[in-house]
Amino acid sequence: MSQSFFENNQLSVETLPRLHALVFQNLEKDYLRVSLIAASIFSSLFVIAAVIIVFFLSDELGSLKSMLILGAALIISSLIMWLTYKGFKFKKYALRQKDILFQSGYIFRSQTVVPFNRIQHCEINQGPIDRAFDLAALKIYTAGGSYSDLSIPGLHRQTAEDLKHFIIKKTAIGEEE
Amino acid sequence: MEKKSSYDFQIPTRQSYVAIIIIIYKLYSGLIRQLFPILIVFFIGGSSKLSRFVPVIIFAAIAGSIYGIIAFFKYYFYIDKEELVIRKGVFQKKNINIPFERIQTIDFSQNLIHRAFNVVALKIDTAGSAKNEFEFDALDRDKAVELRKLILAKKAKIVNHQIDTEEEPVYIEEERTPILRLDIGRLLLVGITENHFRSFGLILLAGYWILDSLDDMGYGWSDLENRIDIDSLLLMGLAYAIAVIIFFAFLSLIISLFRAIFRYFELSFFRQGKGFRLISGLINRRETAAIDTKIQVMQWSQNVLQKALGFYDLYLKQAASIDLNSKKSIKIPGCSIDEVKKVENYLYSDTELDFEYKEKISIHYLIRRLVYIVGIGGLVIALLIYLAARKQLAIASIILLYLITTSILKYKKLSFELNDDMLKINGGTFGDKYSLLPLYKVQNIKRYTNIYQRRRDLASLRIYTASGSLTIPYIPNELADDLTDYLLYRVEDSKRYWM
Repeated sequence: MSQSFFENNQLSVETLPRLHALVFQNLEKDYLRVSLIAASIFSSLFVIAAVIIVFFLSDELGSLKSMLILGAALIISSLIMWLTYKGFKFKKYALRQKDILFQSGYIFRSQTVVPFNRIQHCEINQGPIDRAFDLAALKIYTAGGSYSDLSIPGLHRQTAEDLKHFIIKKTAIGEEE
Repeated sequence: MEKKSSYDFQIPTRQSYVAIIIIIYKLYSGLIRQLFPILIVFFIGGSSKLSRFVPVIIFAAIAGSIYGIIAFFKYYFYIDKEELVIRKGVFQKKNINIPFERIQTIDFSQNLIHRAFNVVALKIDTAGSAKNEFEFDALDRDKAVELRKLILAKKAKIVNHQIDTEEEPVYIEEERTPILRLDIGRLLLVGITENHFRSFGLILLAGYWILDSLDDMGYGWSDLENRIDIDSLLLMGLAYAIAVIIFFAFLSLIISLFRAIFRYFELSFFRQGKGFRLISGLINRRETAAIDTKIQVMQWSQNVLQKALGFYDLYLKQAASIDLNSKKSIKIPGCSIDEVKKVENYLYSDTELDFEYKEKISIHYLIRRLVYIVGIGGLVIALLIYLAARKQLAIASIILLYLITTSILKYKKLSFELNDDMLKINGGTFGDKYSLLPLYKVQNIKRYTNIYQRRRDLASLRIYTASGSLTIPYIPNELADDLTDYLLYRVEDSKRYWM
């Protein structure tokens, strides 16, 4: 008969790396700027859209309806800015021998673990704002579908390259075994 | 069958001539499906308009036929060393090479036309990147069988030279061990116990759509409304409402029954080699395969009606290439628990299937749901009481009660079980649902927490596989960590490939 889960687990406690004993790595400080710039562009587009809607919808600019629409747009865009700012601190990653972890989210927090021997491929993405700060995002694909793909933003370009090489080397070793 | 192949596949060959009909049929059925609303409007909207379109229709028919014939004659396939090569294309030439070792399954299917001419459509499914599925419209049955045998034999040779794994290819000619055969009695029971809500939804949709189209043309729903006073209808009262409900229930039942007969007629499900095969259908006979290595999650469920009869719907969820689509998983209706266990034993013969560790989820799962439901529902009800809207109040109360009941039932059913090799998740609302996942098939793991969960040291785990994800909601943080650690250990330690 096989042992029950907990007995088995306790035997391997010393040998198994534990999740909560992990020290996570913060993203580059510049990434906060990048994401704030991106968020402010998005928010201002949002507000502009609201202004246009108000302009076409109601004849009087001071009417209650237009004030409501504008107010909502302003509140939502400032919420986006605030969440972007707050969320930065919670975006962290950690690299282990056999897997990579990423956590994010201020209100809804998530932590994803991807074992190296399940990685299909990985790539480096660099947006225009990223480029200005020499940052890049590492995107990791598994067969688990697009919802489960991992994207670690706010890495120095060189760090991202190094990580990618490291991961590719690891997955290649895994396949040879 | 040691006889040498009577067909030479090295020479570029066309499909069966029947393919012309199939190509044209596919072209038109696609076209008609897209233009369906317009066509309906024309048919109902009077013949005067229709006659004007006769030349267009004739032109379309001729053009389509010419296209079909050209497409047929431009289409060749042959075997070149270790590849299946297809050359095709009317406007744009296409060369497709499929190396044998990448071919996963070769499935046959037949619609009415195929059956009349004793030909089959061939679907070739390959491993790796998406859009690698490939279809032959029509091949003579013997030829198709021969081709399938040849390809799989060659594939087996290649694969066995390269790797000496336990993952052997499927030998199509291997013996078939029947697992389930739906006779007519069981088929009818399957139809009766289907999920009637779906049929009901279909009816509503169709009804709405027809009324809407009629309305667009000025025959009218809105006229109807003017002619018959809706309130007087409502006054007819309870008897009328019950009659309507019975009528719709009956209609739903009939539709479910017909759907079941069309899809599952003469269903046979059997074990063959290292995989399963399912053949079914009244008009369109479909043959689909599921290979052991490709199956990620095994799932079986039953609704209340099925529970009364002891039937399960069994799902074998296969890895999709890149896109996750439901077509990859096969559904076997009308299984008894014995048949489910049989499949389980075939799939996981080398693994422990007894679970000693079983854990329920936290009561906070239920509490939080109820807080939301009662909170929002209470507000709505308070508003309706204030507005003295009695009819709506009754409906809202029923919905609220339903949501509360289902939440409680759902919470009671949710649990997970674990052993050295397997994770099993139990769920369901009125019925039951079980999912079984070998640990080494886990792709990655996500842990979620919201504010409510963090305050109570709880977390939800979502476990991703190549055929969708499984969720374990609301378990203690520490357990979530332990579970993640354990799953990761099993995955990272495993030398077995998930596909």
